[in-house]
Amino acid sequence: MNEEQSLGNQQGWCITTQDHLNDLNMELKSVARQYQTSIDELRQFKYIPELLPHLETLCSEFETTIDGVVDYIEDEHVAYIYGRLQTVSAMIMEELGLPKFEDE
Amino acid sequence: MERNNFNNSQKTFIWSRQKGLCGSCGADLSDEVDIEYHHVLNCKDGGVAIVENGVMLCEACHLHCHDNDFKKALLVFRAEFKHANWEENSYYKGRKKGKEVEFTKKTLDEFDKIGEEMNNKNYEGHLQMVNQLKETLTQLQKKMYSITETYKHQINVMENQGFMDNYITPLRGKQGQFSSIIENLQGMIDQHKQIISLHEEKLEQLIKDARN
Repeated sequence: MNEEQSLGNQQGWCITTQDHLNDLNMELKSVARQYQTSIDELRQFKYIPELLPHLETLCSEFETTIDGVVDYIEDEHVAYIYGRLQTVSAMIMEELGLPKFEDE
Repeated sequence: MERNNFNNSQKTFIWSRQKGLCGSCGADLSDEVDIEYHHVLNCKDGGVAIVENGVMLCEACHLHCHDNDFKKALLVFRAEFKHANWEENSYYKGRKKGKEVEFTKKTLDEFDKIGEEMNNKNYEGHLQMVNQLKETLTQLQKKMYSITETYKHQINVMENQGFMDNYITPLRGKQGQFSSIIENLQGMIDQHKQIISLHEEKLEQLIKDARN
């Protein structure tokens, strides 16, 4: 495998992994919303009063945890992979003799 | 002494009024031998054998009626005897604690209110909602598992394809941290699902109690 192919593979890897992680984050946020919606519906349909606070606590715990995990994935993984993607892309441009684009 | 059984003329009248159909499920009873004539207000609650207090039922619906207590029987009358064809202003008479009472539309409206309150205790609806919530969490767990495995797999693939070492090593570390965070999250979701299962059990018990 030549240098260009290897860089191309690395770039593809970065894009695919970034997509997977973004997809997971969206799913996590969506389930947190669905959790909250389920609790709202149970409240609206007069769920057993002594049991409802129990589920509300679970939902709140879930939301807090998911917020933390989503931030962690964005800050630690997506950002890192994005940085690598920029580097690899710049290397490919250089390899191909194309001009670099500066971020605004 | 008041009669408690419907006589043949009353039965014929009720049969004609309902056009031979079960007052509850609407089954055609024309060829049935075991036709039951039910006192809407039970005899033990002072109900008497008058046509206003009578409904013709199939055996299964009659059994179902006697599963209910007095209030529920009235609610069944209002909600389920769709084929009874009572007159709009019909009422039934009875005696409670030795005193004669008439159940008029006004009284029945009050029972409708009780019925509405009973509907608020919509345990089956609640059960469906918590089932759905548990299913949503299960789907999320599958997705998390799949993405964790993909992440791991992607690193292996790129390592085999000569990915830069200075890139692979930190990625391995990051992927390990990611797996561990996701594993913790899976554990928390398992706990939530277990708790939701307890709610399901409680609701199933309440549904069972309500049916009895």
